[in-house]
Amino acid sequence: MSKPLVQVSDLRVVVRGADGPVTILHGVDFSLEAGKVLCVLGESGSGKSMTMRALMRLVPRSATISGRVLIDGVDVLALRERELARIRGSLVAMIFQEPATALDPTFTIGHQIAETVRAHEGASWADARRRALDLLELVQVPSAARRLQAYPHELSGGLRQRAMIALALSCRPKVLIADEPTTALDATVQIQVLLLLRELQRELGMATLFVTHDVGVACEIADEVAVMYAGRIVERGSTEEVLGRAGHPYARGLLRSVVTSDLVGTRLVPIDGSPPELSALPPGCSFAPRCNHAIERCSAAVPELAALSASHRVRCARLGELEPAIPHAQEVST
Amino acid sequence: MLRFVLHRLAYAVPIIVGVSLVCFLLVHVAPGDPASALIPDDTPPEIAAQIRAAYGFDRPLPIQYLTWLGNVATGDLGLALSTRRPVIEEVLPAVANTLRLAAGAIVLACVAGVVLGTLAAYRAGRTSDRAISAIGISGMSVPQYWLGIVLVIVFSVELGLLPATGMGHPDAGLAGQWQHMILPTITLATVPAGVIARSVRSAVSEVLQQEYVQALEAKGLPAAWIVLHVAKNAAPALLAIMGLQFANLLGGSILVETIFAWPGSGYLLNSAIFLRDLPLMQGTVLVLALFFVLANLAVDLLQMALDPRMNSARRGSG
Ligand SMILES: Nc1ncnc2c1ncn2[C@@H]1O[C@H](COP(=O)(O)OP(=O)(O)O)[C@@H](O)[C@H]1O
Ligand SMILES: [Mg+2]
Repeated sequence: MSKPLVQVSDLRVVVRGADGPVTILHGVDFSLEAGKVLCVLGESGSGKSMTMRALMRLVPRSATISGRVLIDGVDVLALRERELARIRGSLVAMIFQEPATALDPTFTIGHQIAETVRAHEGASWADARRRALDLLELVQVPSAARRLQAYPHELSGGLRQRAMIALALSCRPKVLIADEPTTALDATVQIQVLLLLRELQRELGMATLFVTHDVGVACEIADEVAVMYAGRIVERGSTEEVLGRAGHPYARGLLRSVVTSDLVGTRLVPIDGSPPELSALPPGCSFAPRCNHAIERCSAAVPELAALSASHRVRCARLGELEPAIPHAQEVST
Repeated sequence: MLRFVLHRLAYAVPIIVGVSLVCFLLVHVAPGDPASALIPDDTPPEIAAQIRAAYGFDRPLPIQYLTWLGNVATGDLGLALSTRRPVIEEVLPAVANTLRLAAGAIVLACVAGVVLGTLAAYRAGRTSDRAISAIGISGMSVPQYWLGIVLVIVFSVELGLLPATGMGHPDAGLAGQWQHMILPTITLATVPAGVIARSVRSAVSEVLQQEYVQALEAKGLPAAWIVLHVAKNAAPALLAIMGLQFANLLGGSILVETIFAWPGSGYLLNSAIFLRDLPLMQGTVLVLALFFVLANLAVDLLQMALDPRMNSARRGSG
């Protein structure tokens, strides 16, 4: 096993709120090898975006980050502003969820890609524009030369997201972060953009962190999956392990709710209850109040991420006591 | 683009017509007709009637208006009653003097407002932000006559550094006159500086909250480049406000120009009112109003040139 490209340990983010500090991330740990895809799953509000942003230290000013983030040997949290700017966009790049709001409306697509190349490689405008054109062709934007001159609002949602992808790839990052890159798009466009991303990821061999709430997407593209709940990773492992033999009741619920909805005539089983208030988390396991299997012990202390196998880890106090996960199809038919 | 310019120009025409109509009527709704100021009370009625006929005051108002408009279009604003000189010769130098102060004041106000407002936005919620807000509010609420007099007392009377009034020798040019401009320019600039600082703060902090600013950070642009993006996004809204402040300054401040005896349009208007010199008043107001309309037009065009969304919306519909 090679040394991981991304190593995150005990990543914590605390935000100063109106009523005192709120902890958004309670110590997130994971690692990712070069060229692999890690999908991060979880309900909205579970801290997926915050985790991704914390990796690049793109958190609001009211937030403090602690823990350790090593990317290609660079201790990101220890960098000074200037050094940070140097790795952003070149070592790690991010694709945002909403290309409509993440691109500057007052500059052309070509300018926005070219300036990134200039900032990192000191290229001339002419060279940078040529690279921008190559990139737009790489992400299969039709009539790319003309689109260089277009402003973001002049493109369709799908083309805008392709431009955003081109921008993220412009300085050949080793790590690509994609925070729900297809959520804002129409269903048919979603698939095209997803396929493009997968193709580019394989071609360029980038380690990719892919946030999604779509288990089907994770199934398609992930090598590894992490499930987040209330600012913690509650389960992680290889795709087969997590999607096939989920150990955490929340992860199982998440999978069940998706799989069921695919099958005609079967009842949708949503997870009961609603995500917890981060400013008032219950003691112990955050999921306990919504968990069918919760017992007194669950509320005593936050469970550790315990190993089920060399790569599969689950944060559940009753791990091993619960009946083993059954493949979805059978579970659904009951 | 050209289409929009023409469209916007066409839009300005009815405004200019309206302005001219108001200026024309200004004279005619005043008690007595405009000739009565010319005609001594003991003039025999036949002579008075002749004078009226000579000036065309006996003709119907619409005809008088069109005649007047025709004269105005050729630069003939009539004779000033008080000096017997053509109004245009009184108004243009005064407007030029006001323009000079207004230009100085708007530059000062924009520089101060942009620097302070941007700093405040970048440091939102911190002490420096609050301090800047306090400065801005004081700038907007300090009475101009008070500030003018305090400046004169401090810099002219006590320290003897700067002249208190006038604009220096008429032939000295800017090189010999700039010292005279300093105090009135500062006095004029405080209100627009405060207004601009506030608008810049709110426009910039709104832009800073946009996701694309985070995206710019995410792609590793140097902070100074990001400021350029922020500026370009905040600029269209701010230009409108700055243009309006400039247009206000163009009107000349009767108060400030009188305190500093600065021979601008405000000063001229003040004397015209005192002397009941209706043609002079009419001419001054008309020229100022035209400047106002032109300034607004210029702001609109500039704003459009800077905002690609507006630009292509026009292209799309045009
Ligand atoms: N700027 C912020 N200030 C305070 N709380 C925030 C901020 N951004 C996000 N949060 C909170 O952090 C939690 C996690 O948010 P996020 O990472 O966006 O979730 P996800 O991406 O999983 O939907 C949410 O409860 C959200 O309210
Ligand atoms: Mg999110």
